[in-house]
Amino acid sequence: MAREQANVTTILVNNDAYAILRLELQRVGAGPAGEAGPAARRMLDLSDPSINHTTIAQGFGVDAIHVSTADELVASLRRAYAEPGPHLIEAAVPALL
Amino acid sequence: MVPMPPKLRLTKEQIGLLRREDEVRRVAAGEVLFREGDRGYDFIVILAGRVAIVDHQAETERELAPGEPGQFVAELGLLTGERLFTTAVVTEPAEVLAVPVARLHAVIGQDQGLGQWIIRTMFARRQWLMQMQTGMRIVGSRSSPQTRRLLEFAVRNRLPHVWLDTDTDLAAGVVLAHHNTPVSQTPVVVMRGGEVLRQPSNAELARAAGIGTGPAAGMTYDVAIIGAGPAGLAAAVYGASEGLSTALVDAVAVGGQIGTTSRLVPARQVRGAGVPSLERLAYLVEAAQRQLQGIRHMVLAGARSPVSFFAYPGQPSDLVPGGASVCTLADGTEDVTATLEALADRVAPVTAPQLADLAPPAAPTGALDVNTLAAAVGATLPENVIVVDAAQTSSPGLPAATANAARHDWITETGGAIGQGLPTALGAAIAAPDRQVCVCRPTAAPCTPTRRCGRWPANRPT
Repeated sequence: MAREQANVTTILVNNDAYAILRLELQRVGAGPAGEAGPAARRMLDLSDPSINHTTIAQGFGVDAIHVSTADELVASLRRAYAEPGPHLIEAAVPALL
Repeated sequence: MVPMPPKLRLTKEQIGLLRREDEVRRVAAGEVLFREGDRGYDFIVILAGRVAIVDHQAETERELAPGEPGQFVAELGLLTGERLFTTAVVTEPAEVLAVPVARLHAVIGQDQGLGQWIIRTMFARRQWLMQMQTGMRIVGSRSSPQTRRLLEFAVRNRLPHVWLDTDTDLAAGVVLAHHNTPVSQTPVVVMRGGEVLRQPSNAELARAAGIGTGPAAGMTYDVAIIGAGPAGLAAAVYGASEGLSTALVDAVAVGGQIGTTSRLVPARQVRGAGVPSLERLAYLVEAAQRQLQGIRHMVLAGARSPVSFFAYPGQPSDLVPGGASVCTLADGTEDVTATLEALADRVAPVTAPQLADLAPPAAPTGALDVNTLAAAVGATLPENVIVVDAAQTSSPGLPAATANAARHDWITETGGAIGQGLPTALGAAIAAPDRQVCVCRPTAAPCTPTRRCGRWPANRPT
């Protein structure tokens, strides 16, 4: 995206988790992910280390910002749409499960 | 109405880039430049005179399009090695430039503008040729799974074809009689050039059509990639760019689930203000069951009967409510839009569609969660944006929050293709450079740094 300077605004929803697999683990009958064994829990926990995607994107020369409130997200989206080229908005959102 | 062929001419400058004096040929009227069934030919630019593009069915010749000075005579299959399904015959003494394929590759590799122009023209031509009912004849019954398999193979590989249904189409009997083939040997595929395949496998049809290359004899590959979906394609590009000999294998076609998305979710949906609001079927079995509760008749138009993406213990895979009847109005090989319009004209001729108003949600404030995230996307969405929804557990609020936003296109991740979001967004941005793309994607995907796969594929040489 950086090389093509593509007009793509990426909202990276960062919940520090592989939440879809927590859901699927639960649904195949393994019980709530919180009650899974430590190895399974660790596999689906992405908070150790918590990855800073904003600086990774900046390392690629992509305009990137970390937001943690709805107001910041709205302002960042408006700015990203107004400016050509790729933008990354890393939105810190609590995991649903 | 017969669709018009795309009439695009090379400029003098473009011809100058391609021209080499030793490749200029004089050709007489009646001379055939290439013929249906041929496997390779030169890229031909008409410098003077006239050429006709024709095809043949049984012994009847049909003129498809005239070729005039400045036009090139070549089809998309020239680059992919597909067998020809049209014939080019000189109608007025002509002077042509015949560029061998290898040199064409070299020229368009050096001049991207010319390359893109030629490929776009070839795509437009392929679209038109498919509308003109060129290509192979697939003769078989609508109730035969073998026929369905061959039709799907042709559709997914964009092979021009005409389906003759032995149950309803008189022409099917004529074609079978012409090739001395009883109905018991159907499905039959009649290739351009006359080759007849009786009950062929996908691989046999692929070989006859000239798509795919098959393994090179005696060759040991460094990497074999099974499955040519988005991830397989990316892996193949990386493998080849690292100098590894790479084999990419697929049972049906390149594209994987991107080519079959419409069986799970709509591949692309136009949404927002001024468009009827359509709810998509939920991903989770119990949520989809709630949506479909009480339905007694399910009518399928361009879709297959709905099933759950995954199988779960104690839950059904078939989403059709018990006792409901399922009726196929139009399948993927038929014109779904025309069928639905005809049905609407019959059952509700004066009904106006209910269109969504322009009423985006208010810009949210405060803490960020999946609901305020969705509201922020809906509140800020500019007109004509392409939205790629791949946010998994963080996306349930997105459809409702954008239903009354400005008009936009929506591409949904297929359900199992986690990681599809970024490649899809990049593809959309390249295909529609004048539009904005917004992709909503999760932290967790096969392309996170937690796995050994590049997050930013477009940064790598491809």
